[in-house]
Amino acid sequence: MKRLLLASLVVLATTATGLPARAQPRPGQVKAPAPGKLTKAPKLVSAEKAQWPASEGEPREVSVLLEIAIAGDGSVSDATVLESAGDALDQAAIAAVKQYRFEPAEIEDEPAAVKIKYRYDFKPEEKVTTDAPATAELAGVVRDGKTKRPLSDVKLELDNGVSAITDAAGRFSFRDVAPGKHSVTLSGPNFTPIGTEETLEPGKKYQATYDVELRPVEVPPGERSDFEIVVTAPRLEKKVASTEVTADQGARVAGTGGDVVKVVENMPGVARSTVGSGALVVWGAGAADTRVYVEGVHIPVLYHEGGFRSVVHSDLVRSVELQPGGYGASYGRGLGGLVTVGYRPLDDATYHGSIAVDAIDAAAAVRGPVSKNVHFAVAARRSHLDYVLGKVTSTDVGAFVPIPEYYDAQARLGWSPRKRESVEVGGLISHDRIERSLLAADPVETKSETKTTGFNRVYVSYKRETDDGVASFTPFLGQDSSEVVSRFGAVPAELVQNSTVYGLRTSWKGRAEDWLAVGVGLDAEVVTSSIRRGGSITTPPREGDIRVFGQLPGDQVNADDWTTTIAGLAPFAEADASLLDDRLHIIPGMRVEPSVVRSSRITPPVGDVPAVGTMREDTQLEPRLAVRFAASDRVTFKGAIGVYHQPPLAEDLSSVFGNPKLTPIRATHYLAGGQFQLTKPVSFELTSFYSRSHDLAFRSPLPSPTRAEALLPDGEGRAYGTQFLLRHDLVGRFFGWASLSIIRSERTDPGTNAWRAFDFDQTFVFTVVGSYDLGAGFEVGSRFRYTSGYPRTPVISASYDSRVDAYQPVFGAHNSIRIPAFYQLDVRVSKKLALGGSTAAELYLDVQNVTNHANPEEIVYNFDYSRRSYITGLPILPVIGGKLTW
Amino acid sequence: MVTRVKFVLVALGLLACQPEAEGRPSWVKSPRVLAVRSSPAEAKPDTSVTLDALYVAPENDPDPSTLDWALCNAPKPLAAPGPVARECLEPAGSALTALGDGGSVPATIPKNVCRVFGPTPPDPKPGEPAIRPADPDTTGGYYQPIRLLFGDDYAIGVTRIACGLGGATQDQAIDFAERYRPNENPVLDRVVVHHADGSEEDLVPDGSGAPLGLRVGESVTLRAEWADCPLTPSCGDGICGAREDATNCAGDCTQPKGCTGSEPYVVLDPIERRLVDRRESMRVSWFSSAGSFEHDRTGRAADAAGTPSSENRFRLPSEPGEVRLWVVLRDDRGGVGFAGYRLAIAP
Repeated sequence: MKRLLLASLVVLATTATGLPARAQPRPGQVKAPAPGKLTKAPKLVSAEKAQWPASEGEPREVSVLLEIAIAGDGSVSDATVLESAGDALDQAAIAAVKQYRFEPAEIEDEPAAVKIKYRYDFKPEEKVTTDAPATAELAGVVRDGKTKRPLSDVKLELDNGVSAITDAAGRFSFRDVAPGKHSVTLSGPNFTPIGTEETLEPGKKYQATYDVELRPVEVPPGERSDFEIVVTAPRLEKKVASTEVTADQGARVAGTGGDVVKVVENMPGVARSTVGSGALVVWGAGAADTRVYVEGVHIPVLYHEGGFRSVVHSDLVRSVELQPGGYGASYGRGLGGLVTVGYRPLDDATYHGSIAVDAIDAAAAVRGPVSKNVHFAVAARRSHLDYVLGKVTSTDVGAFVPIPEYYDAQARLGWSPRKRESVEVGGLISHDRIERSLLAADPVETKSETKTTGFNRVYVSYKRETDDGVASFTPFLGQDSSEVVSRFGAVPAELVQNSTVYGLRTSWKGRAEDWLAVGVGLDAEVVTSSIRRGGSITTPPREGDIRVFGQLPGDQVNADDWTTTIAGLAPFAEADASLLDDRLHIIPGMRVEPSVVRSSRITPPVGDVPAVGTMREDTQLEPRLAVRFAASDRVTFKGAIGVYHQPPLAEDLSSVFGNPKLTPIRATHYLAGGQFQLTKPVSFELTSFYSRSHDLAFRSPLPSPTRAEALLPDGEGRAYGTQFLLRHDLVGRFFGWASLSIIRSERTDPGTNAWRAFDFDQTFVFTVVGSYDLGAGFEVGSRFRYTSGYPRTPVISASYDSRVDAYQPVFGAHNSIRIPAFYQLDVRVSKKLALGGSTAAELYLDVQNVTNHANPEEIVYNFDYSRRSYITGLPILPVIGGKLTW
Repeated sequence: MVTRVKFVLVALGLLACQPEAEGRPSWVKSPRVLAVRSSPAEAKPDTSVTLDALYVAPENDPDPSTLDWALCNAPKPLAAPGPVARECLEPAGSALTALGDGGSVPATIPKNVCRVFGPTPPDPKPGEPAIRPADPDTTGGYYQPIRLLFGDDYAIGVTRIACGLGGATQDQAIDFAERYRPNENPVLDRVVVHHADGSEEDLVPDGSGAPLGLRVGESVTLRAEWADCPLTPSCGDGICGAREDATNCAGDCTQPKGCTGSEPYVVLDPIERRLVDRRESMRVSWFSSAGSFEHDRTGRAADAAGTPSSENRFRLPSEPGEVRLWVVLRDDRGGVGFAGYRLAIAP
């Protein structure tokens, strides 16, 4: 028996329980969602009918009240029964709802996960006795979900633009509606607009009842648990400059190879790294200045060696966010940007997984329930590039290029003892190794290098959401290791560093007043390191070193071994004051970080003289302030200022190669900009910034530096520029963005007052990314990038060095020329195949450098530096891969 | 196979494209300085050395009186590129001590050379922290730079300076003094032409006789040979080796003399912080006015076994005439030896 299934929506108040400040609504007035809270309700864009269980006999009118969790990408990640209609009906409703697709909710104008109450109504299909005309009719009533009283003046709008207003009896009617699926949007004076979908068959008349629960005009504190949209991850800090991409979109960007996290490379403010580097240069800051967090756990790198892959499996990732500067008080210890990788919730009702393979590596992931309240997720990846090359070549490929070997794995086990309370135990591990050697007839030209890096982390994360706030507690423990051993002719070089990392991030966010949200927390990190280094002071090179590709490394050698402890204990507090009817948000913050930097050796080792250590204590005050002003529903202005500190690198605290008395470096960020919602899916954002850095560690310029002062803390830096972002959110079949960053990053070296270009300065970075769903499982995406070349120091002449029988370059002005500009077009085509049930396969072709443009990547010279030419980058590069998911 | 490897690497996106370098170091197309030698190769402060250079041109040797010699007295900043301070690459200046012109000039190593370029740091000014000493090279050596100006070009040579050890314990310093012997310039014993038919001939050094005759387009193997140095000192071998001195081996050490090949020596390993025995690695630089070498440089690593020699393939030019050929032998402690040859290329 055919049935008509009508879903009635139960929409209660839409104010987020998240804890951003909320202005007092004026009685009788519909209040626009405040910035910092829910700015867009989820909208149902596709729905599936539930099957009437055979065990229930004849269909009848019955409802199941559900709480459904809508992920940031609009998918339904979970559904639980609040009011049961029997197990079979409950399961049928859940199964249907899990196929729903929403336009995601937005918190502070950014896609966010929310939970809503949703009543699924099973209704017998009404018999239609007409002569089956070619159109259908949709009529019904809109009621208050609590009182069941009809609501007047509710506007219902079909996707064909036809609308109707409910009368005093709450009734509405659409006649002569074309058959097929139609989205229906309900909007009224005191509830947030929400949509549903109806499938209409020709000649039939459909009767719908929409129960809409009204937003309370004022919510007594004790009743806040009634809020129906629950911000899964409440955010208090207002991010003045931030770009977030959901996992669903990130994996579809051309050039990423399906790796969600690699989408960071395409975000505004990020410089393009050279081929095989993977370094993350954000707003002109050094790669080591940008901090990376996975679910609040600090990790040392975002990408594996060579930049081929990220260190976190995409299946575990919910979203990736980059804040290039000006972020809130809850984070610190970095002068550059902040990358936060968010895990997807552990709430799968059934088992899911994936297997992916391409020429570079293979990966697998599985997630699912252990019990009703316990879920798990595991993922692993291993490169097989070395194996593939071994099969197709019989020579030592490593003699030509470094071949990265890597693996990574993540494991998560989550337990939800109560609603809105969770405990998660997890771990991450990553390992990289590059080994190469090159034999030559000349013993000086014989080279070998082995680089092994890795890290692991174990963490426990406790989160609890209450009516008063959200508390989280995340201690973590881990180890970082790095070992670089090389030999260039007879010149050895080694840098071995092993660190143990102890960390704790805990925070509480709540609402002090209706107009004031507050957050407090503690960010602690202790890193103990044991380091051994030998070789030339210029190997490895550091920012500011003047050198040229292929130049012989220095052969004056020394050695040191030392230990360090770098500890910081940073309590922080921030608030969000909502003023002017929620249009103005002022977000002050303060972070106070007492820190300790200890080094085991204050002077270079001499004979058997025992080492004497040194310890330095500092307290850094880091005030932060952000302001957002919503001039209208479409225009928001923003600004921020903040002070940031960063402890010295442990490897720079050597008494031989560095300076054990280095101080923390500091910077001040200034940001201003605006965000303009041009149309519903299209927004434009502009952010200008100025960053000033002090106390940077630079090489001593003295011909006879004092002992233990090979580095001096006297460097200055500045970066300034503007970034533009034009973004089309995922609506319908398309998403994409175009970004332009115009940035200048400069440094002064000790002993000079002149500004020079930062080694990794890229003045112009222009990126266009787009992806279009062609239907039938086909999708096509493209990426275009144009960037300025990195600065280089010109060689103006050369002298003959008889001792090593080689010409040595004589350099001109520091970083006064550039590698020619880079531009490249990438295209990605994918096809998804449904294999039955939830199993699907995806095949993709990712073609990089479609135009086969020869991009200069580095300047090289002939043997006597009389002629200059360029090493060019990748030619056209098609990569085929596949992924099986279930 | 290389092509196949590159194809695969390109397909995997791992190979960037490097252009072919223009010219080769072994081609002598214009007047060039190919080597700068100090005799003795290693000297103490305030002692005399003789400096000479291998200054060549494709046809006839250029006028050596155009060589302008000077000692460089300025240390370069720690991380500055190149072998010498920038101010030493000037015709004159306060950083330079002029030594005169010519193919060979005498020089006196400055008294304070171990403070400027060696392990003995200069005295700090009163109230200021100690100065960092210079780092040694991988052989434990410190060097006095020598600047050579010819035309508009500069060449840099060195004299290894005997300064003792830096950063060592007292026992290590004593042990080092007993075992370390100053470097001796290497000497090319001979350069042999090995023909495809297995026959061999010695190249004739310039001025020692008629040039060796070879045929156009012929490909031959050249082998540079040097002395075979004993690893274990033995009194009476003519070499004043480790722990030998005038009291226990007067014959070898009254007029101390080293070996002209790959010498053993002791060095303080900066990483292990202990004295280790090593042997010099040897490099051979090949130059010619015509024809082409398979390698611009060859050599023998310190730990390589076999005879004290190094080979290189040489393809003779396709046109008859005279070809000039130069071979420079270097040890990794800064010692230099060289010789020039002429070949008569017949049709």
